[in-house]
Amino acid sequence: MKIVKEKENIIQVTPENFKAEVLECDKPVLVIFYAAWDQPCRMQQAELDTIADKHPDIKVCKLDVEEYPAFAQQYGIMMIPTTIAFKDGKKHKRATGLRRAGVLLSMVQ
Amino acid sequence: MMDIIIIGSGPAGVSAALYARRAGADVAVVSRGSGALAKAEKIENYYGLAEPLTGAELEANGIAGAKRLGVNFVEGEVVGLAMNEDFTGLVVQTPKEAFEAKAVVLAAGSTRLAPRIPGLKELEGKGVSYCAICDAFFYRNKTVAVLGGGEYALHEAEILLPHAAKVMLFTNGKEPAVKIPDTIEVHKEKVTAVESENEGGMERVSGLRMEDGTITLINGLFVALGTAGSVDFARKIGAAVDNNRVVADKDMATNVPGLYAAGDCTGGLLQVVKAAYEGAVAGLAAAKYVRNQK
Repeated sequence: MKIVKEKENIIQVTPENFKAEVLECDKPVLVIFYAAWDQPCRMQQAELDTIADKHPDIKVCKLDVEEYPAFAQQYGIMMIPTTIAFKDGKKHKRATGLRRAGVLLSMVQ
Repeated sequence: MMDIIIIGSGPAGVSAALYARRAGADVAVVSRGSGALAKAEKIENYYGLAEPLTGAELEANGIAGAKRLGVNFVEGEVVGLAMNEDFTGLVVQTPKEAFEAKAVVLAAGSTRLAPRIPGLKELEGKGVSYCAICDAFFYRNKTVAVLGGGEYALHEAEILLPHAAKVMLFTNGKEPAVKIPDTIEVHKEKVTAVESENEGGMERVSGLRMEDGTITLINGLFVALGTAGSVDFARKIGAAVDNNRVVADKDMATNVPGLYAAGDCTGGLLQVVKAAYEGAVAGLAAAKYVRNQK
């Protein structure tokens, strides 16, 4: 069985670099709020990997909700995986639960 | 570790078992008993029937044929599906025991849609969840409710107990189907709405409105009605679900390695012939997958 591996082109964000990496980014950004042990989150990261691979015009980031629960709460995260699309520093669209790459892409296009 | 576990003993599950067994795999079918087929009064549109059969007869014939070929049948309600710790297989959980296999076929039929309780769909991800093991940690020291009254609801409630300050079970007008321990508060009244509040611009679940108009304050609601279906298991393990159907490719493979789906849970015609075809494809694909792991 192949283990889903995280690729380096998904950027790990924290409360410290969230503003610089996400809110001030001049490209649309998809951020997955995840927990490392959660199976649906692993599968969601695999979907996001394909976006990061094929769409250099979109930035893909991930934030560990278990490590930063208070920060996740600021974004109203109560389910993992939750993916939020940011455009021009603002929350644009949000998807809860596992979504295929095409659905996530449509959130920023 | 077994080769293949099939969840569901209807035409999709049993066809998957037949094809996988004949392809040389060790196969077990885990099921809580009869499904949708057994309720059919008369089947006369399936190949090879000189005279109509009842659904129950067709189902019994199918199971007998699979047993003759060496398929093992285990009676038990499946309440959970997860990867094992080193990601080399899948774990199928029943209330009494856990089974590990290299591949699993989801063939537990279609899930009933959630009841039309206002707020339930709208608040998904804002306090309404369908997976206790995924989202329990958001409710540390908070009050949570589980909607349901069977083994599946109890399983979800027990996952929440170590995290939450209080766990309540709302059976929505029914008697609980299983014995509920004293640590879980049981409410049998009908739920008429999921209430929300706006906190700092974020909408969140705040309570359940009951039939008599009273509101029980909660921070989160986990939906676990009836018995868990294929879509529930898919959600828990990270298999893609679209419009309450498990998404599978031409080999009936989901996006989770080693996990296949067949029958009513994938949508389309809710017919024996379609379930049998998909079961055959899933059984062969799962057997090939297992061979390639060796």
